[in-house]
Amino acid sequence: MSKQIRDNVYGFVELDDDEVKAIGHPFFQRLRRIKQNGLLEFLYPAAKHDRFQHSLGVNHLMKLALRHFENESFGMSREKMDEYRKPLLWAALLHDVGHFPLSHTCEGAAGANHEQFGAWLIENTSVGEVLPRDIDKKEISQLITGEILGKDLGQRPWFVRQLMKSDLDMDRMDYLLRDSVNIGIPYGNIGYTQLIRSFRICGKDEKLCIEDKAIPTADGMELARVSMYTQVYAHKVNDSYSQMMTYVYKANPGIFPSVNEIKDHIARDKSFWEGFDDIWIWNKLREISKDDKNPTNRYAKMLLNRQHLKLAHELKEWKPLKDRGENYLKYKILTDGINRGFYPDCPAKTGEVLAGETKVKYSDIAPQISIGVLGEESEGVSLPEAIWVSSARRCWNEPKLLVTLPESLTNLMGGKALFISRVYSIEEKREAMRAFVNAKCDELKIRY
Amino acid sequence: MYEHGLRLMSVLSKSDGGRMDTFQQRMFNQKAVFILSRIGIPDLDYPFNWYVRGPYSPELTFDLYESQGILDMRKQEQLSQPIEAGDVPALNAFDNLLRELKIIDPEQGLEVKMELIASIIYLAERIPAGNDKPAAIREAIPRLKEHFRDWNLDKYLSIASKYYRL
Repeated sequence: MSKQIRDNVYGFVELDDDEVKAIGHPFFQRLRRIKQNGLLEFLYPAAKHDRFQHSLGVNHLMKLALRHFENESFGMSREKMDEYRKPLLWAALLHDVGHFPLSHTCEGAAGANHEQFGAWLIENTSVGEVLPRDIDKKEISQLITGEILGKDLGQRPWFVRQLMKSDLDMDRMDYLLRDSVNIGIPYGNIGYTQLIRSFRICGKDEKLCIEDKAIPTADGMELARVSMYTQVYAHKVNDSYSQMMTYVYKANPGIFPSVNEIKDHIARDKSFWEGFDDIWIWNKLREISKDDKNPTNRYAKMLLNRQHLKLAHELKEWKPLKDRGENYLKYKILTDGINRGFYPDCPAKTGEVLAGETKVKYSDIAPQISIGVLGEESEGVSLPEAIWVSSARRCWNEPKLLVTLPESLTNLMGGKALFISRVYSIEEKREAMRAFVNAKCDELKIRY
Repeated sequence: MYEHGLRLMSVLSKSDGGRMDTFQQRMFNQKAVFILSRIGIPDLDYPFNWYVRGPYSPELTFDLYESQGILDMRKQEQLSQPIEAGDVPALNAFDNLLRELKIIDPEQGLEVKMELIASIIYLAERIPAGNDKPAAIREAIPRLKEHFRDWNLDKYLSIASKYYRL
């Protein structure tokens, strides 16, 4: 018996009885109160979708992928399907149960990793009890964190990890599609059906590969991700709000908890995690906004009223990771000094200015591409994150990395990342800050 | 990131690490951060995984590359992040570990010996309590890493257990 739920990306998603029961758990229902993109709705008002929808979507894509592999000629044996089907579906469903409020904003501020925290929740709290009896909690938590070693310290087949965590994983596919549909921006509209239909499992490590005819689609997905990052997630306005929220979070350790404090809270009150959601954060911001003695009171008021610090200056550079990047580093030292109040002649003071940075890697294997050690076992990195390509018609004995193929755009861009460093200030001091940073850049010979 | 990168480079440079020019340096940095995060500098932790020469963290590699300029520019920087008092015991222990590793099996590279120590700790973290961890590690390492097949694992288990509770 299964339940069909309407979804604005796929039409319908389907859940079996155990899954329906699982999503009723308070920790899963909590995901309805965690916006997928944190404060992005301040920039794109339609960005109100949540982690609950996304979790169902990832589960749906995993089902599509596994349904594709029911055709054994695509490389997944019946034994492997029987062994990994259910764990992969459960990991896909529960992969975000450890997400912090406002998604990655508060996670970064709390020094947390939502996958590791989700794994901890599954192993230590009642959410792990939603799993059917024949599913091992440890297995699910390891799939969520992308652990390569399985039980008995054996190595899992690569495809198991890759379906959950790689440049081609179901999580990434869903968030690109879902964000694109909900925000109303086309960049994330990837050819997911073509990609899944091109999936093969091959090679000695049982790698998840795509057929070579899907290379343009895979390139499109990498490019889509970069476009979504540069135009949406790392947009200067969204970034400004994130920087402000991060600052308020970190500056109020007595109010906003760290990861270990959250674990202590949960130990004392099992329901704490249920209530630790976006609403909890907004309530705390409201308390801070009423406390005139709190130095972050101004930012709290601004966040509550959809006001943000304005971009005064920025440096953006696409560079290969092997490049030492002295120009960017000098800029970072400058902006770090601004953050710390190091310059007495800086027009904006602490509480009026924030500097921060963001990085957009073209590919998860950018470091390895950058130093040219692709697939070299001597380097010690086997690259399960990468996209691998198989080709029967070209008679390849083993799959090849997409990034090594001259016909692929990833070949050109894979080893690079876009580094963005920005200075934001209150509106009244924006022009003065711009002039100040310009002058400092000239003095320090920073190109901007 | 700059603050974190500065801390990363400050800690690594105490043991002459930090550079990413050669394979040996890259391996040293990865294993040093892993071991240090387990023996007393937890905020250096990254998500590590079992790669061919793991434990290895792609995120750490990314940060190390981005922070390379810090080593070049340290003498010019106006900001400094001194080693914290709480780091000193771990750094001293790490130095002692390196000293021990340099003495045994001198024909093997230091970074390879660090790989073995880090592998022991990584596996120990994943073996449930109550199991005979040394036995499980002795069985797993030659199976998972062929290049350690002929090594005297007991020696390294003994060293590892001095610095990390197996």
